[in-house]
Amino acid sequence: MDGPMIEVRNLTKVYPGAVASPEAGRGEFALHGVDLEVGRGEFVAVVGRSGSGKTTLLHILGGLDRHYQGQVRVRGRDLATLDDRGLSRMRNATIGFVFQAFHLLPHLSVLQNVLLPSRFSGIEDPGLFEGRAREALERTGLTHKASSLPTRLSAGERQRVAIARAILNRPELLLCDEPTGNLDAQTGRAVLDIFLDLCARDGTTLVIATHEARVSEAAGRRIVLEAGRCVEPPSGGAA
Amino acid sequence: MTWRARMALIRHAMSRSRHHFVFAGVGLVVGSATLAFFLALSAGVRDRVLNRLYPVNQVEFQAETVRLFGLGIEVPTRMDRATMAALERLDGVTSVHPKQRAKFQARLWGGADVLGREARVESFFDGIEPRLIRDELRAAEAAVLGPERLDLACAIDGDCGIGGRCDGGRCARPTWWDGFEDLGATAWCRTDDGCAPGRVCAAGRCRVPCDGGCAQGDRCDGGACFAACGSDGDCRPGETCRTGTGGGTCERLQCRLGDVRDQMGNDWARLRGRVIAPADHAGRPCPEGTYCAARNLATVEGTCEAPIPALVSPFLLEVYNSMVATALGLRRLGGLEVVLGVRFAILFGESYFVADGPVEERVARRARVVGFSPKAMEFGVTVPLPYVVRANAAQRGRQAAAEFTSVVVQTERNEDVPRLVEDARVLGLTLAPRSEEGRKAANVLLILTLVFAMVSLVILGISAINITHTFLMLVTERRVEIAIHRSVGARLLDIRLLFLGEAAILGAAGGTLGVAVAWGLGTVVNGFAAGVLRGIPGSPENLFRFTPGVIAAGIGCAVVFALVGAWLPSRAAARTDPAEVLSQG
Repeated sequence: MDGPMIEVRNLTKVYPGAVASPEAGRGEFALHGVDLEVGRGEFVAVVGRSGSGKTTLLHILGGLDRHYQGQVRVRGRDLATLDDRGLSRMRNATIGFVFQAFHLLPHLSVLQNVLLPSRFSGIEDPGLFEGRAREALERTGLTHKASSLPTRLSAGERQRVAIARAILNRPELLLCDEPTGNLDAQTGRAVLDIFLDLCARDGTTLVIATHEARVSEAAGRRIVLEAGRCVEPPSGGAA
Repeated sequence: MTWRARMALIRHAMSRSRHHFVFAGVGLVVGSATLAFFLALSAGVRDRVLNRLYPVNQVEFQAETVRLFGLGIEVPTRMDRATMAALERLDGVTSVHPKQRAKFQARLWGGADVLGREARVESFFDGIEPRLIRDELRAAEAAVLGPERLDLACAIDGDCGIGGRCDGGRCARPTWWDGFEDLGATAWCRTDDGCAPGRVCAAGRCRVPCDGGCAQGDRCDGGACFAACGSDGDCRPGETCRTGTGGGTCERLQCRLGDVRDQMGNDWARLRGRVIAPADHAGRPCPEGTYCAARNLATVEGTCEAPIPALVSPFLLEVYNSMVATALGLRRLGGLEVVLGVRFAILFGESYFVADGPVEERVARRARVVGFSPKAMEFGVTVPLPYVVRANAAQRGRQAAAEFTSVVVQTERNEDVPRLVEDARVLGLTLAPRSEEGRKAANVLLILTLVFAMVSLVILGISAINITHTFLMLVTERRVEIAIHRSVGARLLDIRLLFLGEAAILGAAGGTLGVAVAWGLGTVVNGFAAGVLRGIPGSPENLFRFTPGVIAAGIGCAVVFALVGAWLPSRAAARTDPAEVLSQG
């Protein structure tokens, strides 16, 4: 399919209880008139201070947050026109999420956590998904931890499990919210390498919200958010 | 999301929150156990107690009485064969069984075998069709005497003791219930009016008229059918082949009583039918199982007859034990089984209350108890209908024998009964007191069942509220998990179904456990009741009936209430905002 992976036009999101109107104060907007485009296979870093709207933007792009104004297209499809079934299908098959807090289910083993998206795929083929899960674990270097519980893993390992889960269904778009925020420098580097590998080998589109200069420098492009508005990135540096 | 995947997630979730679910399920167990217990008790009492006394698909009607011009004179409407035919034509009616009471005075002697002395009482009796009651008699007999087939190998009848039969290599005990049938009897007559409807008087006996055609092999002579024969072997027990001008006919064996004075002196020896000179039996007594029955008390001439099979009511036994035996210092009777086989005599035409009839119309007949039934007369005995019809005709004339006292109507379904009652009213029939009582008892049982079912439903309702609280707590606990599920592709419906699935499984498990508890409780109650009700006639072995419907109701209600309780929490779960939860970290 041609066209950009993501197209955002005049995206506005106000905090709950506030009204999106020109008269609304700056502080009531989570996002305000954001326009952006992300090409297929592109690695884009979304930078900005805490509260600038990075996470909100990722949630909207991933269809987790539907309370916005403006137009958001992913793979050419306007998310506002999709019903819950369509959005869920897209989150399951097209989009992968990686969160700063990992968000693994502690009662499930590493393998079961990675397999979680397969539960909602509607496809009854345990062999197929188990093969993919083991492949994802291999890419993240966690094959030997498949039967461990997340509580027995280090922070870096947990984040790699989260990445394996995100890529199980081989998504075209990976949305990562501060994926290295809870990791030390070395582990963060290893995680970043995985992302770069995904982007380079699989052509996965990466949108990573981050504070870290190292990550934003590795990205092909930076989008700077400031108080919910998209501003031009300072030349040659991270936000 | 496939059901298999859904079930896997539900299983995981339930195993993690075991304590919550156990807590939430207690109410369901109690509620469904209560519901199943009372429904099973109600079904058991209805089928095993009430239905025995007042079968739900059997209704007894009697003639409606008409008050004449407000004079206080009540005249019953007629209930005859035409009424029976009209009843048979009504929708839903499967069979019609007329009943007739004896319409003349009678006395009863006997019972010395079990009472220790002869009882002499005024006798009342009625007749019912044997086919209406034989299955019930068989079941009642098996309840007190045990199964008919014994665990005893045999080759011939002789291996099985007195009265036993060898049936397929196994002994079968002697049975009584199958003796409740019309064994036939000589119906003496002078005119047609002394014969039952549909019979004519020929050669001094009531016989089948020829106009309707005689049975195959029978001979028509003088307008009546005679059973043709060539030798005694062609005739029934107690009959002989008497050669006449038109050929041989089967007739009852004639006999002669020993002492004519005994008849007037009310001597029990006479009633036993002591035979000294059978007219055509070469000095032999009447065949086994028959006795010499004089035509009336004015003569010693008679015929060999089988005793009349009779039924007594268990209620009569209770009355005897509780009042008569105590008052008269007689022996109390232990159980119903002791009355089986008791012999007694009925003296037609005699009474303690009114003057005896002419000696030529007074008749002494033997009878034998072959069963007990709540359908039998409470103060009297019940015999096969043809005996009563013949006796009424002989004592009171054909018209008296043509009108029935009541009629038992069997219907296809219980639901047919209310309409049938209305239709019968048009025919001038009204519910007999026994059926009326049955309807009232059924209504009381229904009301009690509804009350207890409501109590159970209230318990289940409370458990549903408990489930709501528990599930709301679970939703709060699992907010992050829900959000993660949403982020990897779970639909709103998937989230709802996860919680509703957990509730359904909780309900099914709670309901199943509840039904099991009810069943166990029922077993305990049965054991207790068996001790308390021991010896009480007609008391069932099992007061409960756990039908598939009862089990389904117990489990189904638990599932429904669990789903109702989880409905709001499942909505709250589906409404969890994943963006908000996941951004909280």
